[in-house]
Amino acid sequence: MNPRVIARFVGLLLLVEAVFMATSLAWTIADGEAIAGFVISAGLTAVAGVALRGFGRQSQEYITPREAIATVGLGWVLVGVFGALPYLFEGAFSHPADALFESISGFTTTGASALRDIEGLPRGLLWWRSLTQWLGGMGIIVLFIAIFPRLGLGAGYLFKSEVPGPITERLRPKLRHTSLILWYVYLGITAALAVALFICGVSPFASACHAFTTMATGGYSTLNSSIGGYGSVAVEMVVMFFMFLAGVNFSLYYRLVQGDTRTVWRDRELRTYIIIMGLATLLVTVAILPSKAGLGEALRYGSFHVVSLQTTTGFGTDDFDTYPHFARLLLVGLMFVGGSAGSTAGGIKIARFLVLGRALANQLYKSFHPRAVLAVRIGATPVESDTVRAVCIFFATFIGLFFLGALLLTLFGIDLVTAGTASIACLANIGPGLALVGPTQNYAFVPGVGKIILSILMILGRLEILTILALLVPSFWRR
Amino acid sequence: MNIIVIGLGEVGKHIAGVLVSENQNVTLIDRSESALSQSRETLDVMTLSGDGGTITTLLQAKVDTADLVIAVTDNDDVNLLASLMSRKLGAKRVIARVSDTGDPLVTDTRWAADLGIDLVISPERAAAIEIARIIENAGVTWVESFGEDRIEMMRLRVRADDSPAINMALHEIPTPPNSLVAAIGRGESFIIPDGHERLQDGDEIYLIGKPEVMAEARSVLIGPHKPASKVVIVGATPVGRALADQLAATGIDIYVVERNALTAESMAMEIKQGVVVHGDCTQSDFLRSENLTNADVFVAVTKSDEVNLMVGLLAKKLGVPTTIVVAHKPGYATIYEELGIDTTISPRLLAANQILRYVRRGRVLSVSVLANGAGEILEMEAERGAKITRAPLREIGFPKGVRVGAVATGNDVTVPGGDFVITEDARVIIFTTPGMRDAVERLFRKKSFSLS
Repeated sequence: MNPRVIARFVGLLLLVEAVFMATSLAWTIADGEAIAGFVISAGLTAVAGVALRGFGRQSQEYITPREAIATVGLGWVLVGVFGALPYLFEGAFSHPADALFESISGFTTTGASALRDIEGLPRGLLWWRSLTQWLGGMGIIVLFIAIFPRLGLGAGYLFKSEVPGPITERLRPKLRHTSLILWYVYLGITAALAVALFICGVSPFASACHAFTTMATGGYSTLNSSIGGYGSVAVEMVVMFFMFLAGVNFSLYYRLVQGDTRTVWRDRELRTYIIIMGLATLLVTVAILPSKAGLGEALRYGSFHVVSLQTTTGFGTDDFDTYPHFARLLLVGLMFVGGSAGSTAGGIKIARFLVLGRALANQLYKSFHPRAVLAVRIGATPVESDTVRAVCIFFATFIGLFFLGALLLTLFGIDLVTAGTASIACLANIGPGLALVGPTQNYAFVPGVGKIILSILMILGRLEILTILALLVPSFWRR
Repeated sequence: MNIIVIGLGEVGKHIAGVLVSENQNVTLIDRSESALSQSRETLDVMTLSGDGGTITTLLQAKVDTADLVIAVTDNDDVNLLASLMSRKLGAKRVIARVSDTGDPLVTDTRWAADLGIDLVISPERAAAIEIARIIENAGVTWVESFGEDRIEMMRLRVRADDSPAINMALHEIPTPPNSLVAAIGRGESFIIPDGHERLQDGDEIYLIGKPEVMAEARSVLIGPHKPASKVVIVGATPVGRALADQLAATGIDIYVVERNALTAESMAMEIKQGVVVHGDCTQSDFLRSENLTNADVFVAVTKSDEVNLMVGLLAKKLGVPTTIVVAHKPGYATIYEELGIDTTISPRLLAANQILRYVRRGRVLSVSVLANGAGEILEMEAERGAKITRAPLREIGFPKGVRVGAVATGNDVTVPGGDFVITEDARVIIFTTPGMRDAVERLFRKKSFSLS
C-alpha cells in the first residue's frame, strides 16, 4: 500500500470535481447572486486536489488492486465531503451532517433529501445538486478513466469497482475506449431527454436538471413536489420512458448502435427487467384501481411509480404511501430488485437474481439427483463458479446491511416502517421510502448521526458493498 | 492497430505486454480462464476464453476487422489453423508460431508465403541460430543483427591476457572503417564512450559494423580468433536438433548428450553429423569418463531450466571455457549471468522480439536491452521529412547519452561521422540509455503525429 499513489489519483478526482463545481457559477452570475459561495467551495476543492497531487507526485506509475480499492473508496468519500461545501457556503444548511447527507445522496444517485424547501434554493445550487447525480450515475471513476489516457495498469481494478453488476464487460480492447463509449451513450441519451422535456414545456434549466437526475436514476427534482409538480401526463411519460432506459445495461445501446440487434433482443436480463416491470405495473394498477378515477389514472400512477422505484430513481407523482398495503409492499420489494447490471440503477440488480435463481434450481435438482453436474447459465452464457459465489455473498451481505441499517435507525426512536424503508431506500440508492420518509416527506427529521449512517449505506450501495467494506478490514491497511 | 493474440504462454504474454505498453488495442484469446483473468488484472486488454482454432471464437474476437492476428499457443496445429482461418476471415496480417524445427514451413519462407501466412516463427529455431552464431564467434557473448542482416552487433569480453588493445584509448586502436565500439559495459555501469575512453580488463564492449569487417575488428580488440573445435549439446530437444543442424557445416565436433535412451536413439537417426551420447550431464563422473570436459563450449538445451543451469555451472567448474544455457522462463536470464554462465538464451523471448520487430513498421523497429537494462539499442527508420534527415549529424543536437552506431542505406553500411546526413528509409542503429527513447523518436518523426 502506497499512500502517495492513492493521494495522486484522489487529488486528480478532486480537481475534476472542482471544475464541475465551477460550472454552477454560470447560473449564479446569470441570476446576479453572490458568487462567493461557489468560488470558495470550488477553490477549497481545487486546493485540496493540488495538495494531494503534490503529496503523491513522486509515486510509481502503476496501481495495485489494494491501492485501487482504497482510491475508489476514499475517492468517493472525499468527493462527497467536498461536494457538501456549496450547500454550506450557499446557506442551504447550517449543520455539516445535513450538507454531507445531501451531497452523498446526490453522488450516489440516491435522491434522499434533507431539504424542506427546494424551490427556495438559488439556481446555482440546484444545478450543482442535479449535476452531482449525473456525475455519480455513470461514475466519476469511469469518467476519470475516459478523460485521462494513461492511468496505468490499475485502471482495470478501478473500473471494476465502480461499474455495477456481477460481471463487467468490455466493449473495446482498451478500457479508456470502453469508458468513453459509455459516457458518450450516457451524454447522448441525457441530451435527448433534455430536449424532449423542453418540448413538453419545461423550462430549459429544469429540463437540464431533470435530464441529469433521470438518466442517473437519481431522483433529485427542482420542485418540492417532484415530477408530480408539473401535473402533465406528457412530462410523466417522457420521464418514465427515460427512467426505463437508464435502468438498462448501457453496453446494449452500444450493441444497438453497432447494428447488433440480435444480442439486444436475446438479452436475458433485459427481458426479465421488462417482464418484472410489466407484471408489477399490472398488480399495482389493479390494487389502486378502487381509489382512482378510472383505469387510465390508475395506470398512469401505477406504472410511473413501478418504473421510478424499480430503476431506483425515486421520482414521485402521487403519494404512494396512501396506497393499499399490497401495493406498498410490492413497491418496496421492487426497491430490492433494482435495474440491470451496467446501468445507472442501484439495488441488487436483475443479473444477480438470474444467477441466484439458476443456482437455486440447480441445488433443488441436485437434492434428488445428487450426482448431477450442473453449470449455472444466464441464457446461453455459462457463469463461472467464482461469480456465482460472489453473487451469493453479495446477496447475503446486502440483506444483512439492510437489517443492520434499519436496526440502527430504530435506536433514534424511529418506527419500524420508516426505519426499514429508509434503510433500503438509501442502500439501494432510491430516495423516498414509506411513512416518515414517504414521497411527500423528507429526511430532515433524522438526527445527525442517523444521517451519517444513511450516507454510509448509500456509498455502500453505490459501490456494491465490497469496495467499502474492504476499507474497514484492519488487515487491508497493514503493509 | 487491432491486434489479436492467441495463446497466453511466455511468448504471448511478453508480446501482449509490449504491445499494450505501445498503446495498441489488444485482444487475448486462451483456453484457460484463469490465465486470462491474470492478464486482465495486469494489462489493459480485452480477453476471450475459447479455442483459438475454432471459427466461433475467431468470429467472437472479430478477426475480420483485425489488423494482425498472432497465433502463439504451444500447439502448432492450433496456430496454423487459427492463422489460416483468420486470414480467410479477413485479418490483414497473420503470424503463426511453429515449434517443429524440421518443418519446411519453418526452414523455407516460400511455404508461408504460399499459404498466406505473413510470418512463421519458431522459438526453437531462433534460439538454435542465435547459439550457433555465438559458437562460431569465439569470445563473443552475444550477437544481434539489424537492418535485414546488413548491420551486425557483437558483445565481446576484453581479457588482459589476450587483448592487444588493453589499456589503449579507443582512437588509438586501429579498428577497420565501418566498425565502431559503440558502448562499453563495465561492472554495473554502461558507458557510451568517446575516443579517449581506455579499455580495461573485464570490459564488455559492444561492437557494431558491417558484417564483412567484424572479424578483423574483433581480433584487433580482443585478440586472435580461436575457433571452437568441440561442442557439447546437452538435451536432444528441438533446439538441440536444430543447433546440431546449424553447426553441421562448420566442421566442429558435435556431441549430443541425452538422458533418455529412446530419445537419444531417435536423435542419433536424425542428425547428419555428430555423436549422440546417452547419459546424465549433471554427474561429473560421467562427463569425465566420456571425456566431455575438454570441450570448448557447453550448451544446455533441455526442457528443464533447473537442469540447464546445473549443467552450465558444473561445466564451468570442470573448466569448460564457454557455457551457453537456455532459460525458458525469461526472468531467469539475469540471475544466470550473475552466477557465471556466459550466455543465456530465452527462445520465447527471441521469438517474441522477432514478432515485435515485424509488428513495428516505421519508427522504432526494435529495442534490445543491454547490460541488464542499463542501456538499449534502438533500430530506427526515419520518416519522410523527419528532423534527423534535414541536417548533418553534428548539427542535429543529439541529447546526451545518445549515439548513432551505424546506418544502412541500400546495400551500404556506414559508421557515420559528423558530416553524415541520414536519408529517409535508412536503417539507423542507435545506442542510448533508457529514458532517452522518446527524445530519439521525436528526431525520427515528422512534426505532426496522429493520436491513434
